[in-house]
Amino acid sequence: MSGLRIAIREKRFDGEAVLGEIDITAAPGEFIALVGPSGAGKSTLLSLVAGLDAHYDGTITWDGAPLSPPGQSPEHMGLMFQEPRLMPWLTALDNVRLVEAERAARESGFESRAAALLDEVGLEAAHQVWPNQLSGGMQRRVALARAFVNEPRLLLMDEPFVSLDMPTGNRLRRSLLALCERQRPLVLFVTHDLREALAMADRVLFMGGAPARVLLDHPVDTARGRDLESADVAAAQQSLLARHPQLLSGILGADANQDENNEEQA
Amino acid sequence: MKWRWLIRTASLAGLVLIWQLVALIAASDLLPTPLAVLASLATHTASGELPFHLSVTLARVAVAFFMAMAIGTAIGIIMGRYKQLDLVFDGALVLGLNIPALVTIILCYLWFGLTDVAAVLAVALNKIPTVVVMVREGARAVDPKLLAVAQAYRLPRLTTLRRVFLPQLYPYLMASARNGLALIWKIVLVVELLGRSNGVGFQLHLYYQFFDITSILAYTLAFAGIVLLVEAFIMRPMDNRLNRWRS
Repeated sequence: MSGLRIAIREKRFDGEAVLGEIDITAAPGEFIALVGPSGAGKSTLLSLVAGLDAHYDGTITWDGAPLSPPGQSPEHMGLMFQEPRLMPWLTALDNVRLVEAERAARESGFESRAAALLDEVGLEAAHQVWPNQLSGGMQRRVALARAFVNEPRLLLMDEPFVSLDMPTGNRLRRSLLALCERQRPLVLFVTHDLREALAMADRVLFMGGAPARVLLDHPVDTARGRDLESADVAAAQQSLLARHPQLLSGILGADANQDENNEEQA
Repeated sequence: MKWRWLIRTASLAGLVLIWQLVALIAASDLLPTPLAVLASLATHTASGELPFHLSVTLARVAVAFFMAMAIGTAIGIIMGRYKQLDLVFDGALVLGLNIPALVTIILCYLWFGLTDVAAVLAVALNKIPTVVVMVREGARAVDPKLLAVAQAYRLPRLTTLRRVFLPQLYPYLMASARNGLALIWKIVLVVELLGRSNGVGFQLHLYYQFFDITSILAYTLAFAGIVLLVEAFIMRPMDNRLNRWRS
C-alpha cells in the first residue's frame, strides 16, 4: 500500500507509557495536522517518524517498507522543528545546501536547488547572511527552504510557526502551502492551535489521554489555503468545539463512543 | 585594525626599552643589553647555526603538537560523548594530567632510547591529557538539538562531524591549540637538553656551560619571535575566520 502507515503498540519513557496504541494511515500528498494539549505525545510521535528515536514497540512504514534508518535515502524526508535550528556558522544558503550535500557529491551535473528555494521563500537578498543576523521569521524561512530542498515525500513539522506574530506566521503559512502545492509531500503538522490546523490541513487528528492515542480523526472538507482568521475556519472550529467541548484538553465528549479515553486528564 | 597593531608593537617595544635601561644601569655581564643580544642573534644566524637548531626544534614542536592535538581531540570527543567510557578513562586522565613532564621524558628515553621518536612521544604524552580535558568539556556542551537536525536529515557521519559537530568544538580546540603551543615548545627544550644533540634546548645547555648569557638570550629571542609570528599569522587569522559568524 502506498503512503505512510504508523502502527505503534506502545512507546515508553523511563518505564512510563507515553504513547498507547496508535494507528495512522496517510496517503501521499495529504496534509495532516496533529492537535492536542502539551504532553499529548505529538512531538514524541513525530520524533519516532523522523527516526530520532528507535526505541518503541511498533512499526512505521512507507509504501509498506520500514522508513529508512539514518544514513539512507536522505531525499524523502523534510523536517521543521519548533526552533529554526540552523547551524549558526553556516550562511543561509549553506544551511540549506548542508542537507543536500550527499546527493550533490553523488551525482555529477547536480545543480543545487537551494538558491532557488531561498528565492522562493522571499530571501533573495539573504543567501550569504549568517543566521544570527536574520529575524526569527527569516530564520524560519531558511528552515522552510531546507525542509523542501530534497523534494521530500514526507514532511514533518513540529509547531514550526509557534511564537511568531500573526502577520509573520500567516506569510510563512502561505509559503508553506505554496511549496506543498508544487511538491505535494505528505505533511504531518503538529500544532496546539486548532485554527491553524483547520486552516491548513485536509485531516485533523486529535490526540490525548495517558498514554496518548488518537481521539478523533476529523476530515476538513473545505478547500485548502483557508485564511486563519476567515469565517470558514471560525465556523469549523465552533461546530467542532460544540460537539466536543473538551477536545483541546485531550478529552473527547461523552457523546462519542470512546469512553475508555475519558479518564483523568485536566 | 591599524590601532591594534600599533598598540601591540608599542607594548613590545616598551618591554625592550625597559630591558635596555635596566641593563645600562646594571652594567653587568649577567644582563646584556638588547643591542648586544641582537648582535649575537645576527652572528649566530649568519653562521647558520641558529637557523639549523631552530628548525630542528620547530620540527619537533610541530610533530608533537599535531600528534597531541589529534589524539587528544579524538579521546576528548569520545570521553565527552560516552559517559561509560568517560568513567573508565577518567582515572587515567587525572593521572596523566599530574605526572611531571620530567618523569615522562626520562621514562621515554629509558624505554625507547635517546631517539627523536622518544623525544617527540614524551612531549606529546605531556600535552595529550590537557587537550582531552578541554575537548571533553566542549564535546559535553554540544547542542543535541543541532545534532538531531543532522540525524533527521540522515547526514553522513563525516558531514555531521565536519559541519555540525566540530564547529561547536572550535572555541575549545583553539584554546587548546594556544595553550598547547606554549606548553609544547617549553617541554621540547627540556627534552632536547636531556637527550638530544641538537635543537635550541641542546644549544641553551651548551651556552649555560659556557656562561654565555648573551647567546642564551639570543636563542630565546629567536624562539619568542617565532611564537609571536605564529600567533599573528596563523592563530589569530584562524580565530577570526572561525568566529566571523558571531558578529
